[in-house]
Amino acid sequence: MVTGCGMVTPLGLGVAANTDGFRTGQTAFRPVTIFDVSRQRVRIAGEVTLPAHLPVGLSAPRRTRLLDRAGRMLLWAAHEATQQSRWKQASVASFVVGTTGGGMSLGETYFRTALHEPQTRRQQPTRTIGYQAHRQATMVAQTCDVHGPVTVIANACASGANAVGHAWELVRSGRAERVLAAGYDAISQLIFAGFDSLQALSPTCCRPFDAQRDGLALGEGAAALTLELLEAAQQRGATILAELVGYGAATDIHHLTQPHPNGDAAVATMAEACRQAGLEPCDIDYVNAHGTGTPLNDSAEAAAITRWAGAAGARLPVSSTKAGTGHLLGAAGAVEAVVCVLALRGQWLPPMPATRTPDPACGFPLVTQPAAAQLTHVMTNSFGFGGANATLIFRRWS
Amino acid sequence: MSGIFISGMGAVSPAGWGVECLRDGDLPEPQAIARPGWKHPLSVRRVPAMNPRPPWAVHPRMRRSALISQFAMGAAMEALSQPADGPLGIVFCTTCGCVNYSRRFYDEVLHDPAVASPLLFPETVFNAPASHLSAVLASGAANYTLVGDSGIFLHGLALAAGWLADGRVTRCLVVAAEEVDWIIADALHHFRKSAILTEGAGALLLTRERQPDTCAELEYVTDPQPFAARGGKAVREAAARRVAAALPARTEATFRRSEFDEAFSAGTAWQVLAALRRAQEQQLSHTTVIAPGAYQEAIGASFVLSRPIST
Repeated sequence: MVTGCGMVTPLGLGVAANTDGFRTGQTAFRPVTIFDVSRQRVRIAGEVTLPAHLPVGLSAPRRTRLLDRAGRMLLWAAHEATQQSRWKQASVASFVVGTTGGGMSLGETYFRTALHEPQTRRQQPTRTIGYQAHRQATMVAQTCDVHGPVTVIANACASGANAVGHAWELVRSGRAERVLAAGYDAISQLIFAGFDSLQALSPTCCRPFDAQRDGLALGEGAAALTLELLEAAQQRGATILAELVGYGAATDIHHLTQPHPNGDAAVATMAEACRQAGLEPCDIDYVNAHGTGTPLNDSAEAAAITRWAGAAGARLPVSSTKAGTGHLLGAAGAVEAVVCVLALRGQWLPPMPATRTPDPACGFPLVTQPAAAQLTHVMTNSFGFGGANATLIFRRWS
Repeated sequence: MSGIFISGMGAVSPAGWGVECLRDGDLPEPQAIARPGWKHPLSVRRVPAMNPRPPWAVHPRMRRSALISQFAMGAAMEALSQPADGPLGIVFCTTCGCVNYSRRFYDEVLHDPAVASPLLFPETVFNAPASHLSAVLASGAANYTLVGDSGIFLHGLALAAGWLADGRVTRCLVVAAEEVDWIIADALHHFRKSAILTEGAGALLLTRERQPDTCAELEYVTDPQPFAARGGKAVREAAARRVAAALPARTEATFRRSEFDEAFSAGTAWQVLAALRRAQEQQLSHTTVIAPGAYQEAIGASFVLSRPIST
């Protein structure tokens, strides 16, 4: 059961600030200010406006001094989720976190300092420790008064979904009583320049599944969900937000950065998630696609959804919320999991208004305008470099 | 955790390619690695070149791969020496990741991002080695990359044991690997000036069924015990003692890392291999490993010996 959610995206800080943005299909792209992009092909991204202060009520705010921008976003999301779940103080819970870069900005600063001021020691040991994703996650957990094993999954852009899925497996198997699952990543110069070097960034605008799409937009953010068994949640009178009922993970071995054109691994994860949930494609009411907006990803995913859904595809609404926030990398899977929970609770479909001309490969209707819908089961896909594929299915709780 | 068997082992270390090298080979003298801006180089221990080159080295995925991927592949292939069927899960563990390509790519970005190489960037992601493992082994099953302190290899064993127990896979390869780069040697130098950064990989093949090559059973992996890096050796040792207390009481031998230089996650993998070997040589029925991490947490595991190690 999902009993708490928290999120930070370019659309806003906190679930409440994000809900309307996702429901109405707002976009949040602006010129990058965190580092110099004057020599880049693309110069915009979904940058988060992060307040200087920390969330109120933290149990040990001093621990957060080592956190960089990414870690602070994770802290905001984790704090919101644990506050909503009303876990009692000093909860024993596992913390499973997905990320691609961890404290990359600290690593970049470390390198620049080591290179340009080679005799300088000041702050370098601190950056060495703070850069480690595992260390960041531990600091965030301790600050949120969550005490238990910390696991960092770095499965590229599927990391967040893998973290949520792994957390679900821990709870379901009895290996953990409750788990805080999260994904986070901040825009960093290395990653931004990397995607730009691959010419994967859109020089116009991110239009997932549009026939004229020309790339993705990068974004940053974090999201967290608290997961626990129904009995435990009911015993303490927790509000149940949704039920996580299926998780599939597989590996696409076609290429390090390109999906197999047929989307075989994506079909496998969607089928596996459905099998675990005891559902058929016709039972799924909405798919939150990975939908980066790159020509190769979207055509492979369109082929996969079309093949997996079969006849049910004709009535299966699909959209990608990356149209509004950009690709949040290690945070994407967790953010999109929270979007699914919000959609189930609000009974709406997140649109992507910039998509005007659907790719003919889409054998399913695309959600391009805000719409209400009757949703019982929703699915979210996440794929990443290295062929990491993951699918989650959430059920409405009533 | 009973019923999880160790049915294959592999290692790549400065002593050479293979578990036997780790067992019998002498560690070579440290090499110097230039540290830009410093008059004196740093000391590291590097893995010798492959000789002869194994067949997997010519796989298209491996042509431009980083050394960390090649070390991981070498250890994995040795652990998988016996053919078997069934879905193969992969858990790749690392502390520092693909740092060489990351450092080179970021160096290019700082010079001029407009011409930074798109060939380098894909190999910078943490899960590039794991992806190459899946591709070369033609395994489409689940594949996780775990990042953490030196004991992350033991976390990986626990995660793999969970996959096997749940029936998600029938075999699971757990691999830890690290590579040397001056920036990591520099970072290590801030904390322990005498430590020598070392590269390589270690691998264990876990199975749900006992195999001809099964040498031990994974009995238990403890929860990690955190410590504050700034607390120094005392807090690290205290965390290790808490791990020892959490391990099964009937342990006959405890193996602590001391003979390896700082190889982070790979060092813990070698530690497990050495512990199993010593327990086998001394005809013990149980052995434990305690891995006090480099900067964050200690963790331990216990093993029940099955029969002499086939290697």
